[in-house]
Amino acid sequence: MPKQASEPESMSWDAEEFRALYQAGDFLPNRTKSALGLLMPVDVYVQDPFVAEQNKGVALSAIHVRCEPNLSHGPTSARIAVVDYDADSHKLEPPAQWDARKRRFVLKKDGKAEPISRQHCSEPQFHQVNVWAIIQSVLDMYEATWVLGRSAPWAFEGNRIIVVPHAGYLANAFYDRSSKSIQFYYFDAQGKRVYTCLSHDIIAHETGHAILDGLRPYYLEDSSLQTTAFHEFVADLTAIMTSLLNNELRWEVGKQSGGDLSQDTIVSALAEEFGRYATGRPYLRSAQNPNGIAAVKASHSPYDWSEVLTGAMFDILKGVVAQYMRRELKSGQKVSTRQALSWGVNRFRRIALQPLDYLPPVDVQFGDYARAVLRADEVADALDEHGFRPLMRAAFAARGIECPSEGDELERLRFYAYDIERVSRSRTDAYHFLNENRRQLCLPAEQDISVVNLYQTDKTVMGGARLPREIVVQYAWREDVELKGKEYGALAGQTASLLCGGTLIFDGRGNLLSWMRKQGSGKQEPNKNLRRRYCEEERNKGLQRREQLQGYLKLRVAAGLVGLLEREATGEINTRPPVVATCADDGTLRLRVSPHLRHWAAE
Amino acid sequence: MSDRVIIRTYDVGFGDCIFVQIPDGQDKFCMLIDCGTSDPAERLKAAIADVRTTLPEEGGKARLDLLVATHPHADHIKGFDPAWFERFKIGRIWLTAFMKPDHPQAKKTLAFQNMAHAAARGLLERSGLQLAGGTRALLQRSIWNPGALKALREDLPQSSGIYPQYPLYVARDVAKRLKVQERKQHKLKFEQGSTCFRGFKEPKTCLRVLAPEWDIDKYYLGEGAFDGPALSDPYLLGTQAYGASAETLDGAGAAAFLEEGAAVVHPENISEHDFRQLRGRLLYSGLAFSQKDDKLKNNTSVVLLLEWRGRRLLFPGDAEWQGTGVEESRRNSTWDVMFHVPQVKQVLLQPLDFLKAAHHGSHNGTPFLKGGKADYLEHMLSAQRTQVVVSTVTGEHGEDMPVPYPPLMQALGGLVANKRRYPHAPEEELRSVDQPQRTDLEPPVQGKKVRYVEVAIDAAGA
Repeated sequence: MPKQASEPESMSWDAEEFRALYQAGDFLPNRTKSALGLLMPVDVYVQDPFVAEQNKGVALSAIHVRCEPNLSHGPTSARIAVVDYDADSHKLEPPAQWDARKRRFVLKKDGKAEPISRQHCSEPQFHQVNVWAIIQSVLDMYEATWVLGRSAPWAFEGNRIIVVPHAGYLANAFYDRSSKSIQFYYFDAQGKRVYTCLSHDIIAHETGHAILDGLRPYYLEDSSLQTTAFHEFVADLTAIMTSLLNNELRWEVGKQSGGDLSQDTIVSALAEEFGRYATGRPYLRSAQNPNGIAAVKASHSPYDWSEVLTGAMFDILKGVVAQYMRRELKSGQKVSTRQALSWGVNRFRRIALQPLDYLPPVDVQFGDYARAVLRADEVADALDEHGFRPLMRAAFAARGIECPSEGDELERLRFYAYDIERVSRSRTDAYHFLNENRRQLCLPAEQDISVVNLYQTDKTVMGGARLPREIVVQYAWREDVELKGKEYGALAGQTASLLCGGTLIFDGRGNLLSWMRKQGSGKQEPNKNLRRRYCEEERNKGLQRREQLQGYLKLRVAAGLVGLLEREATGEINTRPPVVATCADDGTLRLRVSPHLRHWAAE
Repeated sequence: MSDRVIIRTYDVGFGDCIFVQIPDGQDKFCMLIDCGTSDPAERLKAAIADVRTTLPEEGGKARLDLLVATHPHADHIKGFDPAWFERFKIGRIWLTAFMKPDHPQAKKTLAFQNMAHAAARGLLERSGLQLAGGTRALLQRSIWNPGALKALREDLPQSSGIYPQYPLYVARDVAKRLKVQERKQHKLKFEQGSTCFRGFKEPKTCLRVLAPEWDIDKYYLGEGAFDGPALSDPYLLGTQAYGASAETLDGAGAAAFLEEGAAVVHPENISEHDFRQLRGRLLYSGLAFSQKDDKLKNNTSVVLLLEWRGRRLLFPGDAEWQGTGVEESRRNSTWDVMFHVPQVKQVLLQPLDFLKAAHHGSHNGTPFLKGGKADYLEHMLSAQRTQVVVSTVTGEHGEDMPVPYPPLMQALGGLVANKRRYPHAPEEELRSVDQPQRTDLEPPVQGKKVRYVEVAIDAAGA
């Protein structure tokens, strides 16, 4: 039977004691945290109401969410504020009330205050708590040491994302950086009201967008189809990952598939309720798909492309689980399906999500991610005794995703002597390192470079072993690209930006673990004797990127997708074209996909 | 004025006000097609005053033989103010069939439009919501113009003594639906697949109604299937208003958008600044309705073809072109529907002597994109013969496609007899290419306070 969020036991902590206990929570295992009341059980839809009706085993379950000391009505927590405003009815729904004594969100009815639970599924306050809890758990998953090992920033100014569970009537949900929000809409179909705020996959998907935007804000600039598709991939992967981390759902998957995930129909099918009612299909997208790059080459749809990478990663997951299924315990017993799935999913979480830190800051391509996955796995598991990396290479190759050949290009980099502690002290200190090593890094001689991010991680692997501390330096710059010719339509005569930059990852001793970059086309070191030979090849790649960008923009214009706006004005979101080009302060164009047209609405 | 058809397309800002004077035996038949603007009404008022001076006097009033309102957008009907037409005697008033209050084949369209009106009104009046200029204009186009509608349906016919015979709600096939007596009274015949007005002294002159179809719901509204980014269709299906009768519509429609004008209670867990930003970035069904409603109103435009002494003059209102054919379950555009009717297509696909470019020169007002240019436009226009006028103002419309649409202007410039170069055109790409005549760029008319483009068409063989 799925666990229910039970009535809270009486807690004997006063507010100060609880706060002190909360601060110590990072050192406590989850079981202890639950027992101390630092985690609270919250009933949520495991998938969505449609799946809940079809399969009682995956209806609702209790997930455990951090019980922060400053939780308040909304719900409102440190990073999330739920605002239940309906744009169409112009109404603000009363927020779920926080009862500090019970340490639960409650529903006040007939003079009583009941902890909100699955008994209240039809109440808007249940929806509010449902969406808050799932977003919180997604954020917690990413921030855990076995993924990012640090707090995940949002991309906007501020730290609290606004969540609107009943934003209005529409078959859509989307993340919008400009308003710091994730908006969930509702619609009617076949006599039923469908709430996107009750779909776990949709909630997790949108949160995935928001989190990736915080990690790599330049990815929202429309520089290539693969970059846009990558955003969709991470969002879908987030949905799959968080589903699989739900014990009850995972057990159900195990029961139905017998550990063979190629038989899975639960987690690999995304957004069943939405797909069924909005598009007439049994789901919106599927991770179980055979598509490779060749199959989608002619497609302009980022979703078609994202399915390639999602499919590849699901293949890796299947392979990892299958490998665990073949193992034996020390006792000689075979690993059970539940155990194999649990270990496989945990391993896969590290394989798939830890590499996000390795990615370049701009214009990510599928091959970059493949390279990051392999490199991050090398760092975490140098020996690869179980042969996961050949499995990964095979999965990528089968889909036509380019993988780097084995070998270490990092060895050719010979930086001038540096103190990693100094480099990691501030962005300007990191800049000095980059400037002093321009030639090694093939940074164009005349180009000013920005250090767009500098942070450290504290990651672990399964079993709790700590990975080397990572110091991550991200740098970027823009190069002007003139748009000359009628093929650019309304953009002709304007100047676009070629986004360039790189991510350097050092360990705590200053050893370079990874260098992933997007080359520029600017002139290199003028002195031939000082110029590195490999920099010519780097520059050629930059020139290729410039051509690719120009070609991509022509295609977007020819497809009628691009509209030029003088500035982004409020109230225009409904009437904007799919890709909006606006002029930045430096006079160059910024192209972004209109958030509400990014996905979920059928195309 | 000479023995030629004179077409004056007035510069009224963004709108249409077209005066047509047709030699008819010893007399002249005068008609006014539309009278509206999205801009302040001064130029419109001046245009009407100028029209009045051009009309023959009869019984102390200026005689206007036919007044046509192609569709109920403000930029086509705002000027129908009884005070401005006080000294006119109007012989006939034609309105698009869609504007018929109890039209049985436009119930659902009317329901939709009422929803759009209620939603638009609600958003425009909503406190604390800052709307961009283009968004505001879009919503305003969904607001019914009750004054103008009443003027067209009651005041003007009554003051001219032609009520209740007029207004006549016209469609391509209206002649088939009228009783014999009514057809005679209105001098309408059904010929070559369309309704033809034969009320001229010259028996060969015919004013054809090529659109809309009488069955508005069937052709222009569609069944509301969820068609991709169409935001409002599911709502359409879900609301009571969709199936309601016209009498109960306004209540049902407005019910979905309650308590407009009331200040919203501010959420306590975010700042006012953040809430204001959020409200500016939400998707409002009202805006989705307005987008659909905008197209719907355009596609119920009356399309008129004047056939006079061997000449053909086309006035398509704001008819739109999709280039995707016609499907009964789907929303269809006027041009697509016209080309779908074989006899109408045959009538259309012959060289024109005059074309008032539809929809102010927008990308979808003329069969141009999606095969339209080669398939249709080049059959209809002749550089030796066709004169085209565009009644427009740059930059007033067109969130994603500018109006007028430069590629269309350039294409028309190569296909028309009255091409012009406008070195001062706001569109940089059009400054050194030929365009058809544009009301916004033509020089003022000497000795007059109004500005217009005047085209004169001789009889064929003259």
